[in-house]
Amino acid sequence: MQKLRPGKKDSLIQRINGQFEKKNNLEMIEVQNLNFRYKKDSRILNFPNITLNNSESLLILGRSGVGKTTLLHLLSGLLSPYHGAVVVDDVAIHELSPKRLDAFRGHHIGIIFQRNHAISTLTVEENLRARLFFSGRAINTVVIQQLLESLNIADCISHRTNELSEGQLQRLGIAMAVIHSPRVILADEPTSSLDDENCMKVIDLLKKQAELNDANLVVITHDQRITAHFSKTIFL
Amino acid sequence: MNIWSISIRNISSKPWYSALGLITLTLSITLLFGIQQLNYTVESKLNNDLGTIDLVLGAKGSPLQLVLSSILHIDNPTGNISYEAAEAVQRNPLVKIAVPISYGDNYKGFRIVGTTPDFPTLYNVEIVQGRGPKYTLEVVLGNDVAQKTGLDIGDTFESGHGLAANSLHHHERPMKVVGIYQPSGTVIDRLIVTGLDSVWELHEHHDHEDENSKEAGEEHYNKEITSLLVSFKNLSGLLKFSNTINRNTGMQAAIPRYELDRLFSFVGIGVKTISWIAFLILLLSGLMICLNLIQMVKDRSFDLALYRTYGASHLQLVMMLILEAFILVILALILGYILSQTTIYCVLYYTSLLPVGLPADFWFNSNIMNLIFIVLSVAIIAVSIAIYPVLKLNISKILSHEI
Repeated sequence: MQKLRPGKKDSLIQRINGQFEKKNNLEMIEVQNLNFRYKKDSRILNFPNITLNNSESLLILGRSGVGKTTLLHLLSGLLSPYHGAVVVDDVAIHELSPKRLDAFRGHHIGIIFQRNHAISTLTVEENLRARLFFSGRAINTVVIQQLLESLNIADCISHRTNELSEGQLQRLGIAMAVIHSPRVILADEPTSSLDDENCMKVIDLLKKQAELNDANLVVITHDQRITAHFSKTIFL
Repeated sequence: MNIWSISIRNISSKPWYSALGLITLTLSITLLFGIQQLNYTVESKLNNDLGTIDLVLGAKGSPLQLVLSSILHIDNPTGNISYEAAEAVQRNPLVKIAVPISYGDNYKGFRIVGTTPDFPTLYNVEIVQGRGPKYTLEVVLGNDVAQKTGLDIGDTFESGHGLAANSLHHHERPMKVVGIYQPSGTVIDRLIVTGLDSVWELHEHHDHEDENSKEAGEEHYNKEITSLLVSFKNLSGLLKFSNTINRNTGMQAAIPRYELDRLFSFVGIGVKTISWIAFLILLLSGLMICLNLIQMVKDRSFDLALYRTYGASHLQLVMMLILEAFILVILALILGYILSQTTIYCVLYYTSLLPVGLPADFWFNSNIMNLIFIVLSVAIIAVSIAIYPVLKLNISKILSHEI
């Protein structure tokens, strides 16, 4: 993991006796001076500063190759930055030990991936149960049922995921990202392969789920059709 | 939902793939257990059959044949020796007990051994029903003989001449069952024991019929026996005694433990070869587990990366793989154990080729423990190699579809 510059990280978090001290403000996500360099690439990707308050949504637009997915992976802690910091819920996530970062990610962050994917050896319900298990949340069958009903895939609850259509898989992907009530929902190109009608449906679903969970929604895409649905937009 | 249930679902999602791995592993473990257990059981049984016998004296010939025929009762005798010479050995101060035996007849394949009342003490066997032979032509049955022939106390039977079950010539004078030995797991279980006089009487009668040349009622010192089973007070003089007999008398002395060790060293080559083949199959099975897991990690890398985004730690993913592998290994161990033990049990129980009865520790002994340890070690090595790629998973690359 790349180390942060001490001066910058100290300004973002305060650690007292190994505990994080929460700041009394509304900022949920804060990205400062973030850049990234791939190991076999001399090019450095620079990202804009981002500040998102509680429950705010953000659209990050950019053409292919500018590092949209890289930014999403940095925001979720799947990649470590070259410089800069990502603070989620007052925690500088790249300062965490790998084990704590795994736990933090599982608990606070929900990710919707570009490619619809779920664990094929498990049923829809088992996927959601596994998601809750790994995030350390209590497994509640009623909550699972209600979520699947709200996404119109309750009929598929005992289906294996390889028996689902692309649309059903995408809804399951959304369910997987919100079942554990995360503070942040990150979506990577959720609408790029959809027609206009389905594109709007997915965005509505995402916004609705973010609202229900009181979570920040960050959508990273090159799809300009959804620009109007977000009050805050950043161009890469 | 937990790591256990996910691992089980992963195994059951590819039933044929899992079954193939399980079958291969089970077969190698069965072969490994089977050959080791068979070897252990036979060795243990043969050693049991030696009882407290330190030396056997018989007619000149092959010492191994003398041991096989006079102690294990699975070969023909080398000839006869004079009872007078045997009595001289009995009087030697080094000798604790010397038991003469004489045989040459059978009933339904079970050997009839003429001997003295000391014979069962060599094996610490007692009569469980009835009494020992007091008069000529009275017999005590080994426990297995009683079970297999259905003979009971008071029954009579005509013995067949010779040691083969299909003997055409039967002695006309019937023998009477007066006792049954306790089950002992020793060679006595398979013998019909009578007094020396009974054997001599039957054979004198037989010789009269054949040659009409011998007088009835000859004294013991003119009689012959097949061999003399000797137990020493201490073993320090055993070799010297044996050499003296071999050099200075017309008899031969054979040390049973030495001869059986020699026998095992011959048979052991085959046992070792099969064991090595079984070990090789086990290693191949371990390699198969390893390759299957590596392939599985490759095939399911996106799944594993997803689990990481769900909050799963490296340790949890590794545990998942270890469980998947060890569920198969433990299943194969259980199946292999049951298959091998059942097969050997059936072979021992239903054939007369091997001694009847099982060693007390047949179901669980150090051999089994060692093999379980070896199988688990192979599995641990295989899994350790396979989990390395999991620790090196680049989640970001996998989720970006760059891998």
